[in-house]
Amino acid sequence: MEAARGAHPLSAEMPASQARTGTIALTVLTILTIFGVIFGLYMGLVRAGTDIDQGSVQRIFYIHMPSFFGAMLAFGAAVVGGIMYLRTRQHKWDTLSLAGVEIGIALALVNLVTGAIWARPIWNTWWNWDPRLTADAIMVLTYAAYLMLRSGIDNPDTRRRFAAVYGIIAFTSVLMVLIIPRIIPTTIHPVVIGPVFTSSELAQGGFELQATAGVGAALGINFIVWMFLIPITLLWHRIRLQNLADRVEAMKTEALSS
Amino acid sequence: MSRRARLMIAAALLLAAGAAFAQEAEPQRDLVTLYSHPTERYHVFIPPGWRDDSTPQFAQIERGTTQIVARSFPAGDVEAALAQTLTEFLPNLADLTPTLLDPVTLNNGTWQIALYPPEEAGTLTGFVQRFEDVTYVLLMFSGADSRPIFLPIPADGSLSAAVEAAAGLAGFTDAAVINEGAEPVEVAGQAYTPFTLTQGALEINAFARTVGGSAFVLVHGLPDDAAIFSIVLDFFITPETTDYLYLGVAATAIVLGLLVFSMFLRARALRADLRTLQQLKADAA
Amino acid sequence: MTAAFLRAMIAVARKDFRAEARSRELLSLMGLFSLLSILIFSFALELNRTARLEVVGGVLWVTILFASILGLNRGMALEREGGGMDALLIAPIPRGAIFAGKLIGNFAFAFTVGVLLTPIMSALYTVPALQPSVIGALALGTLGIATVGTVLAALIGATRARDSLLPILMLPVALPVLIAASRASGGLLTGAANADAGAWLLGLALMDAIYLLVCGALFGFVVEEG
Repeated sequence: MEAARGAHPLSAEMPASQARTGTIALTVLTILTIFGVIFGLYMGLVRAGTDIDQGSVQRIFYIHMPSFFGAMLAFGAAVVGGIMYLRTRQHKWDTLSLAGVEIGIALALVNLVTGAIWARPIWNTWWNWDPRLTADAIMVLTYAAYLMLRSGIDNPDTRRRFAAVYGIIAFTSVLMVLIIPRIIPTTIHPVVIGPVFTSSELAQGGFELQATAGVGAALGINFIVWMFLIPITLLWHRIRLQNLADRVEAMKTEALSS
Repeated sequence: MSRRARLMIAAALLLAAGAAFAQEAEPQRDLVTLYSHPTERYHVFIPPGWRDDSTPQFAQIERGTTQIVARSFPAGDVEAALAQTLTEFLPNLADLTPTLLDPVTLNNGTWQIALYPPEEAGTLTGFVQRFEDVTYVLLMFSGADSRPIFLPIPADGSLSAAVEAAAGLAGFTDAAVINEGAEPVEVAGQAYTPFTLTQGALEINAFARTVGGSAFVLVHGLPDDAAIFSIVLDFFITPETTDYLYLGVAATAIVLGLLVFSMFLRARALRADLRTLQQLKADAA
Repeated sequence: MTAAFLRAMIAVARKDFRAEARSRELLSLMGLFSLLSILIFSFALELNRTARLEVVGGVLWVTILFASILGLNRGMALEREGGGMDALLIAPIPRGAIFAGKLIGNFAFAFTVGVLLTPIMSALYTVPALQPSVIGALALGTLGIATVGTVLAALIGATRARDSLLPILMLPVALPVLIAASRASGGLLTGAANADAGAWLLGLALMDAIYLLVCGALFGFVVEEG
């Protein structure tokens, strides 16, 4: 939420010095993120040991799992934005919501696509109707519906209000992804947090740590990158873009009325 | 918004966070020694009680008078791979040629058993599997003349029929089961049923267990040698999945790239609009 | 919950029931659609007995969900035509009571359709559908659908696409309910995995609880003027 507070100021009314500070901070953060991604990829793809059950494709987990939590952070930002908008009616919170949903969809797509690509050699299918997988796809569709709802309402205040409401309701789909594999015993989706990567049907022997040295470090770095750096940087950029769009919109209205 | 509503939403969010961290604890398993070949992607579990003489080139383990060696050969046919393993492993027996039994499919691939004619020093048995153009050989030399054999369970489904068939393959063609032990024997963590067979005056012991539709039978020899079955069953090869990793990274780059590109395009269009509007404003003033 | 809240809630629900008793429009619309849907499914899927048992839960719930969306759309249109919602909003009653009242109405219609549908499914698909546990799954499932539907139907009033947008907003949000409900009743119908059905019913109850909390808190923001 730091990002929102830093970036929000509708740049038009903001003192120039403050705007410049924000731009510098964002540039630094962006560069940090780019280096973070490269370092994370290096740790995950080069440094971490190969999983002996799955081969190299297991390394996709360094993107797959953290990107889901990144999406969750972004969707969470949308919920916070929604709640705060309904309470305060300040536009900046709606901007945060919109940015959160867009970034969240992108990260959730990364999560889905990498999952499907991982499943092809390991489960021998791009897609199965595993409950968690299904719930994940439903989550993406829910937020796609959010964008449709936004584009369907002309009155900007109604749009912000209704988007906030739907954005909060839509978060139930994120909860479902988290809860479903725990209440439904039939899932074959490995529940993984930590350096254990055997899928359940292959699980044999406690050799994971020995065979996959450096997994913990790679996972930690990639969690920081995909769960915090990437979503926050993208959110910030998206918020600035929306502020610019609002400013142009305001100037257009002004130009038309004069 | 009312306080109650806020509390409710907070509760829902807490539920989400709780769910994220409520991980089922992974049960702690016994540590098993594992040999992993540095480049050829195969792995051999070493059962407890066996001495590990492996080198980076191949896996080799020993217990008493029994030795087991694992090797891999790029391409090449099964016979050539077996012959080369034998030449390096036991050069004095290098001129033996095996009879290959019908392949048996297990969880970790399709295996062929190579039975060598018995020698004075002991018996040789080979297990061969081909995977992605690589031939993997497990060769066992038993000073106690153990004959490990796995075969599909016969149609009538009885283990003793399988034991008789296995004894036949091991050279005891007229052997008949006279006793099936009630108490299973444990070897390398697995329970084997002991059998006694007779062929004329000769009494032969055997140990057997079923795995899926196959019977694992150790004809003659020491029960400890049945560990070879665990070694064969646990032998595994890391699949070559690097292409999918590249595909995944590329897909990630495309998804995020599209997002960034669309943001860039939108920003550019908006800046152009802004310039036009500022121009208009200036013109009007 | 005060007596005034309860009175208001019952009044709102009774208004819907009375309108329905007079016109019978919603129930006949939803009922007819459901019948057609079930017939179409049985023709399209050309099911043998085992396949029938496996899909019957899914057919039942897809039908109920679409019928509910149809009913919610029509109900909202009737409100708009009659100016009913505006009158409710002017009246000095809490938003929560309006939500609860509307929810009771929507739930009652969906549940009635489901209950009427079950014996018909039972006959058409030759499955023992009339069991107390299936009725329990029906009650929980339609409650979930009606909860989300009540808020979302109010939401689409302001949109350009209106009626066509409700399925798009509602299907993904209602899908967890749909999946859990169809698994629960499917398991109950086949009798194969009763333990599984119990887990799904539990999940269904959990979802209902979450949806009731969230939707109840948000409804007030949807119907406010502005």
